[in-house]
Amino acid sequence: MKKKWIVTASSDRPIHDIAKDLADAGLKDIQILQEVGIIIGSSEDEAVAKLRKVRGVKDVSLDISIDIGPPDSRETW
Amino acid sequence: MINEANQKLTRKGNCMSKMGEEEKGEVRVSATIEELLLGALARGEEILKTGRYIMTFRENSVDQGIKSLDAKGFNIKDARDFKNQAVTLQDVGNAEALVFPEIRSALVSSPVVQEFGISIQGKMMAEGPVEVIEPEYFVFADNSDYMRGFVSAANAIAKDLEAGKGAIYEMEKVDAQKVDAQVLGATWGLVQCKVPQSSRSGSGIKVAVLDTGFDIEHPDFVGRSITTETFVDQPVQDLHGHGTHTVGTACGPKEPTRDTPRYGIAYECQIFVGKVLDNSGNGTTASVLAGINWAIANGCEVINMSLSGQEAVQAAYTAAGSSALDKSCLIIAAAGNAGSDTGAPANSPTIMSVASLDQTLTPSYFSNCGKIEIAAPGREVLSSMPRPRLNGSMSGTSMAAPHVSGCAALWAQSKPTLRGKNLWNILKSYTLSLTPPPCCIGKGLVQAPT
Repeated sequence: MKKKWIVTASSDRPIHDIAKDLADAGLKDIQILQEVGIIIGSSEDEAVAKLRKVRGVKDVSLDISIDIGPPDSRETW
Repeated sequence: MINEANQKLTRKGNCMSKMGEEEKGEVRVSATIEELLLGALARGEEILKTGRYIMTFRENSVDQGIKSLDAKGFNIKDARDFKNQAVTLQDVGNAEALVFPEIRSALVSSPVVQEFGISIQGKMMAEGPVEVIEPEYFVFADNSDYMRGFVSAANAIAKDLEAGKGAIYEMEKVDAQKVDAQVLGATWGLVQCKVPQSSRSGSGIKVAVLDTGFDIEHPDFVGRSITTETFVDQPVQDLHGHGTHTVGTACGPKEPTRDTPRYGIAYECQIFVGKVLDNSGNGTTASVLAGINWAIANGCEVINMSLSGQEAVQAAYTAAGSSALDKSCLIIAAAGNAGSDTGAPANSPTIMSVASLDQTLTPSYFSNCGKIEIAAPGREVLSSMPRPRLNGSMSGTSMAAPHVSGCAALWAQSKPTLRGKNLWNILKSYTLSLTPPPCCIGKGLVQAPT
């Protein structure tokens, strides 16, 4: 199943080089966030092991949901 | 409201002598709290100032300070004149200065300050026994209730005036003044963070709020610099309310357009709205990171993130926080509302985590704890809401975080070196210490710079 991944890149290597290697390793729909050193993309579950082996990759984590958290929504007037 | 009549209150009858002094602009050292409050109301200026001043002497300079005051012919009373130095203000009579030697300061009236020939901006004096002179401010035991009571009193007076029942009040026409916001004061949160008396506005500072977007046409934000971007598949326009509320706290106006207390802190900052949560309040790590990236690329000094997920530290958030700090940007995030461990992204060591406090300055029941840097007001916080509501109260660590972000903008404005980690450190240095432990409130309650 195709999933979205958040790749934390090391600053030791140019981020575009890392992104290229990730693409070769099967990462698709790549988005490079230059200022924060993060690469976002999607791939099958099985491909993650290959992504983690790319030189300059510090971490590969699933894109997970975030929200405004309870009980914020209680509004009073 | 008093503003509608554009009228100024003055007292008559058996208060004639006091009225004379008030007309001259002098507020007596021996004035009662009620007289001070009514006087402040009549002046229509910043309602939080009493009209008196606190003079602080340099170390070992109290006697020299007293001599200075005496030399200028002022009537001085000293706390040492009273048994056990227990001073009753009503007993100081016509004194124009009341000295508290144990804390090397004096309560003085405005003629004293004028005589010293210095502007009352709280600036340090170059030499002489006086170190600084600052306005005296009202303090309230329970800000929301007292302010509501005071506002009710003000409204009652206004109603009496309109009904022609002004038995003890006589009206004088004055030039149209915008007294709305001043009369109504500010939200309890702003008061506790010492925002109203701050000389800072956030001018020149860019504050990014990554949230559900913003109501760009909100009347309280007309004329403001607002840059927007969406990172979800929806336009920036906030249809949820959360984003408009947090933007309001961090960046709202000094004088809201209706009968609303001041609810915003950095009223002259440049606002950057990044919609990273959709109109249902949901987003993902990816949208948040994209928002952070954008904010840094646009040179924002402060990023507010009132969002969280109950998971362990995320490497990506830590890396983003680190990059931000390296690029003169401070990310401030809500600790989360699960009543459990601090969530992500606030739990990253490179991101400042904010806990929520109630009006009693105790941790809110829902506030996460553990890795907490600082605390701020988060209960029943009034701020902006999308039209047509315009205003509303919300509770959560989401409301606490923008108090810190707004104050961070004020601090950043005060000194160009206060960026990134320096800004983090100054915010933590100048907190108001409270009793609860650091795991609940970090270093304490955030405070605005003077």
